[in-house]
Amino acid sequence: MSQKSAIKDWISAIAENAKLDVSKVEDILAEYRIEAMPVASTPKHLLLNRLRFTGTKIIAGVESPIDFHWDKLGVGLWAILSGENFRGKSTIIQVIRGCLRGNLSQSVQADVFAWLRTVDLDFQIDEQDFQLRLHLDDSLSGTLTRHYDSGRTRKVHSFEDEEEFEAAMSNFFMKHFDFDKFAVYRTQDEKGATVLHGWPALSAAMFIGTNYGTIIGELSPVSGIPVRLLQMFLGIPWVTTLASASAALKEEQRKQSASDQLNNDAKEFTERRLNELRDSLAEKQSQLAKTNETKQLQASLVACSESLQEAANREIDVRRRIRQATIDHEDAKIAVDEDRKALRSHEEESSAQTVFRALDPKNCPRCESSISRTRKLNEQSSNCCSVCGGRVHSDIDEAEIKRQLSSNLYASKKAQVEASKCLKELNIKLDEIKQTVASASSQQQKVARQMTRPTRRSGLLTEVAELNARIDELTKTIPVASTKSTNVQVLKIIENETRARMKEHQDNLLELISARILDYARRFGMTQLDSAKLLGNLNLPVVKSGSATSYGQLTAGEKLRLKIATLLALVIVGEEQNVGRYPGVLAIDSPAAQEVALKDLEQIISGLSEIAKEIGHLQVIVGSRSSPAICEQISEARSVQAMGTDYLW
Amino acid sequence: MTHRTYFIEAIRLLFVLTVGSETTRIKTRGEAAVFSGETRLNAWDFWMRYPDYLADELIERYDVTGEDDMLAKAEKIFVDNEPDQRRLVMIRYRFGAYEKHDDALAVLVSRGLIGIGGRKDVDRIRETDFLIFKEAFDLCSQIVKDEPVLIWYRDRAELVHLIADHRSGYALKKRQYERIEYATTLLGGEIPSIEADVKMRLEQRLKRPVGGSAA
Repeated sequence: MSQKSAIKDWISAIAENAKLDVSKVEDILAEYRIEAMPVASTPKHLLLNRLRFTGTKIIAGVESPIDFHWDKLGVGLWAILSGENFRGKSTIIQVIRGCLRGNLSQSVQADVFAWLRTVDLDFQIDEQDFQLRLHLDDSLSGTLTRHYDSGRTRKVHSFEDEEEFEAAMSNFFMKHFDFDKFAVYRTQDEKGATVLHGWPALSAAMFIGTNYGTIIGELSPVSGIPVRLLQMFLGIPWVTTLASASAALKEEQRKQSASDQLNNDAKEFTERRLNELRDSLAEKQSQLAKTNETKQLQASLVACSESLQEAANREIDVRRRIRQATIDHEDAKIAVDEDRKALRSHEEESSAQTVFRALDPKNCPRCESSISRTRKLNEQSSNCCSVCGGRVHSDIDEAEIKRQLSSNLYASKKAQVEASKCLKELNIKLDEIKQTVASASSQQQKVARQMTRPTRRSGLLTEVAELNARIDELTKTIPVASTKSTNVQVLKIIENETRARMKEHQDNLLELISARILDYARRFGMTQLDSAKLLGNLNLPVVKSGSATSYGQLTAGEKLRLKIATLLALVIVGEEQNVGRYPGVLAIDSPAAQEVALKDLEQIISGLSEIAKEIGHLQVIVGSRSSPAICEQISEARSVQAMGTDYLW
Repeated sequence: MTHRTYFIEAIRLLFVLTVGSETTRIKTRGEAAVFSGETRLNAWDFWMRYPDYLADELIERYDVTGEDDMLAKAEKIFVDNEPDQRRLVMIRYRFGAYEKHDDALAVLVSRGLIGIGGRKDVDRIRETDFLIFKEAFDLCSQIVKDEPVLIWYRDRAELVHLIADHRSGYALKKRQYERIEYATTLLGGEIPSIEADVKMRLEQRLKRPVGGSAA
């Protein structure tokens, strides 16, 4: 499958899985700067040819010139040997490392760095010659020049300080080895960030120091870098793409998670507040239900009005009856007066009659002449008046009339007493009714006042309305749980699709590498190693003398053996498969005497000597104490040596 | 009007005439005393028949003299409800109350108790004097003794006498005319009661709340 069709197939698979247009997928890939890298470039080989450094060494106040040079280096195993430790082996490897990496001051010990004046490193990349020339006066400056076979030179880079130097070396090697910066998502202090790693990390893998914590390079597996280095060096297709996709995905997930967290916090807060408001509302509504004042007041007012009306009607009735009774009483009084008057008049008239009838007329009231004796005698016999001839004695029964009149008076008096009593009773009744009316009226006014003044109920109604409004408003602001970002889903698909393509290649390669590791480790002296299997995550489970164990639990010497074995396996498999991109140089610094026994080194060097020959382009530089066994393996021509207590430079 | 009312009117006039008469030295027909003038008789009779007007006069007397007795007498008139019980309406005529008493006087004349005296001009008005015989005084004594229901007439006549105070008929009539209600009464109309007004004046002097019962 060509690179072009591999990319097309990859994008189509993503689009299909994500149910998106191809153009949309391309937009997302561009947005996250995920480049399709389906095919690794052809491996290139670095080869160190010559190292020289000069300067002035000051030890115990004694200055002595430095002029170290190691010429005619080539492929195969090279050694820096000294009779004792601390004779300058590490410095040589550090200077090489500092040159390649572009950070000499950080690679070399500070006091040694101060002594240096010039550093030259000549090297080849696939037959192309380059010369690095560094001047360390007040500051670092230098050039990187390419030398052609014709003798022509071309300055590739020049630098005036360490920063420029580092940038120049980084650009130079990344470009020549066709390495891509690889993205690694790193979490630190609960924040995540995607960090691009480049030459410093890649170049570090070429140097095996005394840190055996991880099987490739010096950084912790947790950083994610060793795995990437493995993949980079193996030159597995899609590795860079996968790295970019994974980093983009993690970054997006972090953003999504942060957004979700914010969203959830806001939602939680809003819902908590809503619950509080709903609780308040329920309480107020319950209070409201209890009060129900208006209905009670209305009922009370109706009752008051009814009793007031009833009392008022009774008052009107009693007043009407009082008016009537008053009239009756007045009438009775008048009747009594009249009857009394009539009786008195009768009595007086009877008395007057008695008085005058006892007196015989003596003379005529008209002419006042005397009544004659004849007329008087005639009156006695005929009962006819001697003056006018009318009847003298009345046949009216005076006593009977008096009795009637007395009876009338008694009756009218009795009627008056009754009328008076009735009036009095009615007035008492009226007073009672008036009190009832006053009381009912007062009660009605009281209820009416209660109805008109703002009541507890109206206050509650207002509160309930406010709470409802606030709940409505808040309900609208509840954050809707965001749906998983499309980008996250697509990035997951991109990662999956890419990983699937990468794994296809990787799994094959890892098997081949594992076989090589086992082979090389045995040749380094780990004869008891039964199996070793390098996994994609860089774990290395091993079976030693029939027992399963892992890289972390091995001795320092065993770790060193496996570390070297792994790198070499990477190189040889990459070379064989024509995919590996390991630069081709491996520098192994002198292991500390306490951790790795001389015997271990002898076994390792023995193995390296053979293996280096098998891998045609490999250049291995080992710093070690010298021993007869080592010297047997490595010829004088392939080593720099300081015998006894001598210094290497 | 029946003879019964003549008799009671005759009783009233008998007491007015006897109480209001004065003994004279010149006796034309053997009379014991003389009551001067018909106008005077009518003036006296008016107070006999209108207890409220009499009470008014008593109050007037109290106002002038400060005699508590006058006030007590006025009060008693109302206590006995006399304005209702004893009022006998009179008609206003010219300058005062007037009524001819011919029938009642005839009763007295026919019993030889009084005699109609000669007419004379008093203050340019022709007036009649009444001759009161001894029998009239005797009869009055007899009535007080035998007929207690009629004693009121004697007592009232004496009270009128107290108020009239030997004033002439003309003077009395002028006095009565002063009463506004009296004066405003239409000529020929019934003389109305002034009970309410007098009662109020009485209450004011008794320092009792107006409208309170005198009883």
